[in-house]
Amino acid sequence: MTFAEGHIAAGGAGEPGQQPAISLRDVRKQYGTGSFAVDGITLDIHRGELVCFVGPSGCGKTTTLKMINRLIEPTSGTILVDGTNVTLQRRVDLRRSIGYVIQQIGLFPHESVRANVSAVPRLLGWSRHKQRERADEMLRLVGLDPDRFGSRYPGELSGGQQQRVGVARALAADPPVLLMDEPFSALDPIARGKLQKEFIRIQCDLHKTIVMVTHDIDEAILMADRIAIFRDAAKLEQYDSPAAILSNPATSFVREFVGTERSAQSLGRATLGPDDLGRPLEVVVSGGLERASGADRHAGEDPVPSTVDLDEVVMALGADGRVVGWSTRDHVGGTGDLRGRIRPLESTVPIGSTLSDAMSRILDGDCPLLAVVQPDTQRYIGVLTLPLLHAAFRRSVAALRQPGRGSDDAVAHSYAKDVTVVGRQ
Amino acid sequence: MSWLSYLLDWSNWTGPSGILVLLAQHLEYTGAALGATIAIGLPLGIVLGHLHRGEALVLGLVGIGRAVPAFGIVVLFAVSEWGVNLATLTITLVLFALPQVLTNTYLGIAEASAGAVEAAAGMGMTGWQIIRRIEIPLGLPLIASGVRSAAVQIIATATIAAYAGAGGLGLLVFRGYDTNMPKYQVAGAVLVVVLALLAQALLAKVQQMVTPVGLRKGHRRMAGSANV
Amino acid sequence: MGGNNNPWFSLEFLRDPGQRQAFIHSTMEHIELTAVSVALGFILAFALALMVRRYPRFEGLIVGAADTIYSVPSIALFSLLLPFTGLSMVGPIIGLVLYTQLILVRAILDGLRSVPASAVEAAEGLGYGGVRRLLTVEMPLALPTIFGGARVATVSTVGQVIAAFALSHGGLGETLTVGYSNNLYKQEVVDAVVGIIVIALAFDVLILVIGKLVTRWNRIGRGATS
Repeated sequence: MTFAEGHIAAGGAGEPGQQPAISLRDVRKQYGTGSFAVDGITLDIHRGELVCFVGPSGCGKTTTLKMINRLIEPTSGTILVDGTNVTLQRRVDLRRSIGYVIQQIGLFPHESVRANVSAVPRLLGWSRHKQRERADEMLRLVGLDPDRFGSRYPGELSGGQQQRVGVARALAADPPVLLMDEPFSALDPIARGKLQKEFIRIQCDLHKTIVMVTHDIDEAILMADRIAIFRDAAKLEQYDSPAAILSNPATSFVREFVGTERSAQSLGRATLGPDDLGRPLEVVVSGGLERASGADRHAGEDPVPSTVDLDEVVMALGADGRVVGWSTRDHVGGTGDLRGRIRPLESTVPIGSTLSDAMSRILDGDCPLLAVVQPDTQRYIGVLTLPLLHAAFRRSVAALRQPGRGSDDAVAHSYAKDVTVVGRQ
Repeated sequence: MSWLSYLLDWSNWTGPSGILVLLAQHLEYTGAALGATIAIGLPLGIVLGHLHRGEALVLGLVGIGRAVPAFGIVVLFAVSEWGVNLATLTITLVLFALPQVLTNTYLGIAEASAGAVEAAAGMGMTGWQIIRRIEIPLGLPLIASGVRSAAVQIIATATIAAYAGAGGLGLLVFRGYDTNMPKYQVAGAVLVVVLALLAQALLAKVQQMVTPVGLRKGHRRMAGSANV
Repeated sequence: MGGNNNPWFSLEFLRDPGQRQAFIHSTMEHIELTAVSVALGFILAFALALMVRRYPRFEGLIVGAADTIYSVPSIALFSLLLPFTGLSMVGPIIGLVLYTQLILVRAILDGLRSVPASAVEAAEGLGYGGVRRLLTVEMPLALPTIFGGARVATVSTVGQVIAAFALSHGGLGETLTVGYSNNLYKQEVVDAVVGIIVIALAFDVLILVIGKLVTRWNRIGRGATS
C-alpha cells in the first residue's frame, strides 16, 4: 500500500460509527491530594492513526500516555482500548497487547539483539522457532540485517541502531496499538531524521494505531496524522491535523507554541510545487463554462463527499485548459453528455502559493479538491487534497531537516513517487 | 623463617589441635556466617531494591555495620551465659558482614538500568519476571562483589573466635601472643591470608562467570565496580 | 558468674573516681589513635593515589597490596608488630594506617576519576598549572567521593583500634579485655562496646557534616558514593 493511500485511509478514519482504537473519557490523574497532573482529558484516536501528544514539559502528555498501558493508574475516568476498559484487564495482559517504545530505549543489555526483539513473544509463550523467525523478520523491517546484528549485544550498537531494535521489539508481537514516549529524542539529529522517516515508511505498511509523545513540534508535523497540543494538566488546546494546526492555530498558546519553532515558521512560508499535486484523469469538455456551470445545479443535488479517491476522480477541463469542474468515474462512465454530471470547482489556488494559503482554501470551501492553476493563464496543472497537502507539509519538514541537501533521502523520494503514481492513474 | 618450617612440618597439621582441625573450624565458622549473610542479605536486598524502598535504612545500616566492633561483640558473648560457639559467632560475623551484602544487593537491583526496567514493565512483564529476567542479571556483578568482600572480611575476622577459646586459625595467633613465639602468629596470619586470597580468587571467578556477556569488558555498558 | 553484683549495664563502676578516670582516659586514647591513624592514612593514600595517576601501571600493584593487607586479620597484624614496636603506639598506628589504605586509595582515585573531563579541560584551557588544577578544580569536585571513603575508613578504624589495643593495652580495647579477664565483668565489656559504637557514630556524623559543609555546591543528588 502506498503512502498516499494509507494516508487517505487514515484521514478517512474519522467517519462516525467506527469505534475508535483508543478512547479517553474525562481521565484524571492526581498524585496524593495535590494538584492534578492530568485534569480531565477526553480524546479519541482512530484505528491506524498516528497521533502525537505535544506540549511543554510538565504538561501531562507523558502521564496521559502511560495511563493507556497503566504504567500510571488513572485516578478517575475511562480509558478504552479497542472498546475494552483497560482497568478491567490484567495489567500484564494489557501491556503485552500494546507495543511500548521509550526515550531511554531500555534494551536489555544482557540479552542479544534477537532475544531483545523476541521478548514479548517469549512472554506470550510462542515456540522458539516462531520467536526467532519473528525476530529476524522484525529486524529486517527496521533495516537491520539479522545475520549481522541478531547475536550482538545492545552495547555494541549505535544509539540509532539500538532504537531500531527498540522499535522492532515493540512490534514483535504485532500489537495493534503502539505507545511511544519521545522515542527519537535521545538520538543525534542525523540518526533521528533517518529513523523518523523509516518509521513513517513502516507505519505506512503496518497501519498501527500509534500514540507518540514528543516535545518537538517538527517531529509531530512530520509524523502525525493528528496532533494533540497539551497545556498544563493535559488541557487540550487543539487536536487536529498538522496542516490545520499550522494554518489555523486554535489559540494563542498554539500559535506561540508552533510559532516559536523556527522551522515551523519557515514551514509556513513553504510553497506549493508541481510535485505536490495529484493528477487525476482529465476530460476536455467541448461546451464551455456557461454550460458546465449551468449543469452543476443538477449535480449539486448529491451531497459533496468529504473525501475522494483520486483514482476515481475525473477532471473536466475547458478547451482553453481551464478547469470546468470535476466528477467521478461512475458518473462519467461510457460516452455521452457529461452535462449534469459535473460538479463545479470554483476554488483554485495558483502554483507557488504558500502551503498555509492552500490549506485555508481547502478548509474554507466545502470541496475535498482544490484545483491548482498557473497564476497568469489560470490553466489547470493538477489538484490538491488534504492528504496531498499533508504530504507536502511533511516533505517540507523533511527538507528543512537537511538544509542544502534537499529531500535527498530515499524515503522522501518514495513519497513523491507514490503520490505521483496515484495522481497519474 | 621458623614459621615456614612450622607450616611445612606435617606433624603440626595433624593431631587433635593440629592445623587441619583449626582450619576445619575456621571454615565452619566462615561458611556458616557467609551462608547466613547471603540467606538474609540477598532476598532482603532484592525485595527492597525492586520496590525501591528503605534505601535510607539500607545505606544507614552500612554505617552502623561498620561501627559494630566484631571483637567487642565476641567478648560480649563471651561474658554472657551463651558463650562463644558456632551460633553466637555466626551472629557476630553476620552483623559485621550483612551490611556489605545487603547494600550491594540493594544497589545492584535498584540501580539496574531504569530504562530496561521500564521497558520490561511496559511490555507486560510481571514483577517477578522483572526481578528474575532483568534486575538480577544486571545486578549480579555488584551483588557478587558484595559477597566477595564479605567473604574476605568474615575469614579475617573469624580469627577472634580463638580469643574466647572457640578455636579456628586465630588460635595460632593467640598462642604466639601468649607464649611470645612469633612463628605461631606469622603462621596463623599466613594461613588466614592464603585462605582469604583463595576465597577472593574463587569468588572473583564466580563473579566473572555470572556477569552477563553483554555487560562484560569491551562492551559499552560496564557494571559498577566493587567498592561499595 | 552472673548475679546482682555483675549486671549487664551499669555506670556503677564509673562512680569510682579512679575507674572513671581510667575510662575517660581510655576513651580519649581511642579517639586520639583513630584520628592520628586516619590522618596519616589519608596522607599516605593521597600520595599513593597521585602516584597511580602519574604511573598508572602501579595501580594493580598498589590496590592489590592494599587488598591483601585488608585480608590479614587485625589481631595477627598487630601482634606481629609488637616485637618491633613494643607497647608504644607506633605499632598500632602502622597497622591502622595500612588498613585504611584500601578504602582511601580507592575513594581518592574514584573521586578524581569522577571529575568531569570537561572541567579538567576547561581548567587546562584557562591556563591552570598541574598543581593548581589539582587543588582548585579536581580536588573540590572529587571531595564528595573522598569524604564518603573517609567516613568508611574512620568508622572501621574505630573498630580496628580495639584489636590493636586489646594486645598492647590501651584505649577501650583495654577496658574490654580487662573486663573479660576480670572474671567476665560484664559492665566494663558493655560500656566499652557502647563507647566504641558511640565514638564510631560520632566520627561518622562529624565527617558527614564537614563533608556537607565543604561541598555545599553539591546539593543536588546524594553526593558521596560511600
